[in-house]
Amino acid sequence: MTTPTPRLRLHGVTADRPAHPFPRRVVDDVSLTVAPGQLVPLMGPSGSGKTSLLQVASGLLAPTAGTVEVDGALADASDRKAWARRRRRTIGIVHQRLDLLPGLTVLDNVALPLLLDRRPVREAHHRARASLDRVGLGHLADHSPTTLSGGERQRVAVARAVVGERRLVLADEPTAALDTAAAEGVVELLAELAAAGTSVLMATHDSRLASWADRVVVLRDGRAVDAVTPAPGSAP
Amino acid sequence: MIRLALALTRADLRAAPGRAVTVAVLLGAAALLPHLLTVEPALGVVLAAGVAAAATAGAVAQGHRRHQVLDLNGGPRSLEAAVAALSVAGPGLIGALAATAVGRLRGTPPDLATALLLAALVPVAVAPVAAVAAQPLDRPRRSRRRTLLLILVVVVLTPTVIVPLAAGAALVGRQLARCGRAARLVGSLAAAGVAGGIALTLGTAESWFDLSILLFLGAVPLGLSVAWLGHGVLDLVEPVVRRLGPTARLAVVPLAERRHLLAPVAAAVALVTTLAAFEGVVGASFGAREADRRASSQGVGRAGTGPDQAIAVVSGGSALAVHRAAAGEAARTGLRVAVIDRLGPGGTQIGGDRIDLGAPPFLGQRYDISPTWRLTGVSAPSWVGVVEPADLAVLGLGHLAPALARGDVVVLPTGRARPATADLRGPDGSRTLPAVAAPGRERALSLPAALVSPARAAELGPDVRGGRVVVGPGPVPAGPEALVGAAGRIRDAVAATDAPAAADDDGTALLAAVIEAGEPVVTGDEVVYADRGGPLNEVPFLARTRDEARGQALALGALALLVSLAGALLALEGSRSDDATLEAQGAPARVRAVTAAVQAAVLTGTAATLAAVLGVGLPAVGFALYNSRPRAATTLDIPLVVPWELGAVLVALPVVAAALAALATVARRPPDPATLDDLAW
Repeated sequence: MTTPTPRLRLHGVTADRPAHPFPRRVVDDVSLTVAPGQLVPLMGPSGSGKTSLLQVASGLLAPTAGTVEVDGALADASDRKAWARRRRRTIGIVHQRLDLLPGLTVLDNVALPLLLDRRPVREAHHRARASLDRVGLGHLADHSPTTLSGGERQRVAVARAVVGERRLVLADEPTAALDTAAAEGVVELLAELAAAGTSVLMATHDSRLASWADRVVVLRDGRAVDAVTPAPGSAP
Repeated sequence: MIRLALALTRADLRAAPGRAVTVAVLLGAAALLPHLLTVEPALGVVLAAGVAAAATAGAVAQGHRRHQVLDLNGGPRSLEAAVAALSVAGPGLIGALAATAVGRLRGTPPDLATALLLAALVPVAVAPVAAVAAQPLDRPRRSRRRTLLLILVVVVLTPTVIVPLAAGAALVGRQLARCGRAARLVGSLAAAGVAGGIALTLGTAESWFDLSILLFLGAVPLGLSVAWLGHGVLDLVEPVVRRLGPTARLAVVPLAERRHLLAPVAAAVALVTTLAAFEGVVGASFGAREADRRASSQGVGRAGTGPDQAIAVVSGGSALAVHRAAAGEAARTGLRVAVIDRLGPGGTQIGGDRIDLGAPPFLGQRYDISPTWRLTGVSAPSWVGVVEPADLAVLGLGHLAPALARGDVVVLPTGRARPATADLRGPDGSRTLPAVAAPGRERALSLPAALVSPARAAELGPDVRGGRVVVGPGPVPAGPEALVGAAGRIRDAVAATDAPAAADDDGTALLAAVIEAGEPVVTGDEVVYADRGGPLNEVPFLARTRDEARGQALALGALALLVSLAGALLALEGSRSDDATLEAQGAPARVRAVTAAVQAAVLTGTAATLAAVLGVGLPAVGFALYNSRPRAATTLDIPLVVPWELGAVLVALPVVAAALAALATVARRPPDPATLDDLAW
């Protein structure tokens, strides 16, 4: 039996952020693999490097050392065009800022990566509608994001992250701005996506998510200090 | 509190270095350009105030998330205003100082005091208004009274008109964001009504005092109207642009959605652009009229009736003495001499068809909305002359001799008026007579308003006095010097044989000097001094020639372009979060550049459209009304001239702004969502 190609592999990744007077190291020699269908929470205190690690994985922050592989292909950190193409086609991002564009409808927001990829509008809307149905919000397609609740908006962001053929979701504190019920709904959704084959790497403070996870990676001061595999069947 | 404000200001400057650099460069340019381009410093003041106001409003709008946090924590709202003011005033001071340094190197030191004052005052004045207007949109009504009070305070206390204008524009922009589309359209109609009313008043003002009052009192409502209309135009443009395609929609829909953030910037840009266009059209039009006036005055004493005339002034002499002297000179030199007697003591011609034969009233200073010349002194009344039909040829009006002979009144040109009848008012009442108008648009200095034949004069009254003598070439060719010499000899002969000439109360004695000096006679029948003295006539925007006006329009266009670019760049600073979202979703650099370009084009295109409509429309209405009104003074109509440079600049505004916005988007560092989160508060 052959091992499936990891959706994401980080090897010895190190990253700095500009700071005065010297750059600040935010990720320090982290190695990580996310296989197809895996849900992997990144946990750790604030400032431990979770967001930065996700940005390295999505090409928004260039590592100063180490390598990033997406779907088995080595990603050149300096090739911004290739990373933009990956974010349109392969990697979906869910951000804690609920970063939907308020001027577009829910349907257009979900279809955004496809429209940016120059897919025909009809096809993009068709796929976006399917993605919205997948998260149970198909009836809100023509609404403005500003009329939705926080939980609904985050579900829309998840729908956008998996629209088209995207099978790797990088979620940065997707439940941070939500109440308990809404947060559980979003996590359930991510777990369902993972069960259907989507890989999810998610930064979070919520320890309850560990029960849904295949493996938990704990960061501290930019370093991966622990990797915990939850007990089988612990998910509700 | 002060330390907190300074810390937040420092964070703002780091978060939006583009805004700081933009403000510094533009305020520096505003201080320096008027000197480099020899444009009046007042324009630099307008420009700098607009830039500073736009930048301040943008700075306030950009801190809306911080504003929410401050509000939730019960923090003083003035803190945010202070931060915005500091973040603009700081770069502004740097820009002004840099401009001063450059100016000193060039030997043309700019007005340091003005530049520094603007850099400090405008942000301080605008920021509190914009901060109050920038409160969360879900609680707009609670402090409306306070907002109005603040506006009043700013309007009353701020020492210039421009600052409250810009602040009011910013405020209107904010308020508009809270209105529905229908309300905005209704408001736009009302604003158009205000603008139209101001144009009507402009065209019907009776004096410089009226006009001054209008300019000062009308400036604020006009500025607010411009701001309001800017949104009306944006409302119309946005649905059209969003149909152009996904990218255009991606660009323009967020632009409309963030109306409450961009409105202050858009309003300030529209206001300054409109001022520039208005000034360009008015300056060019006045300059063109002045060119017309000069062109029509070439030649000795021609002034509308012929190129070869000289006019001798014989005020106070008897008609008999004048005729004798004229006949003697004609016989001696072979020149043709026409004698124009004066019927009655004189009178005022009103509107070209009412000629008063009674005592001349005191007219005072004549009103002309184009103060290219200041008319001072006691105005000479128009009067009715008596001339033999055969002598009309000397005036270049031989073709009107038959009409004169049959008793018609020959009305000499006064502007555009071409009356079919003339109302001659004398001590025994009025008589309306058929009239024919002489060609031309401006009669010669010292000529009467109308001519009648001796027979008709006898019907009107026996009071005939010495008037004017017009000397023209006869069978023997004669140059101007010979004509002037003959006219002078006639005057001397009258003075020697008759009573001494009375004081030349209508000032026409100046004519002799003018003719002898060979200078062109300029205008009609007033004592005219080529004088721009006096505070009301010190209107620095006005050009004296068409070329000068074009140069000014070009300079103004460049300044408007700078302001529009400032607006576009500031709008870009405000759209960084959207840019970050697009980047995160894999938008190619091309899409992000096009998005930014469309946003900048829509913003500046709105301003350019408004500037084209109001900047041309207001002068058009005003001039049309002015030209259609009967005028006592022999002033020319004002042509509406739209310099092609102005049109080019208005077209170039959105194009250049879009190109610059696209370049700035591609060139700037990729947005970092985490960094943006940090900077949001």
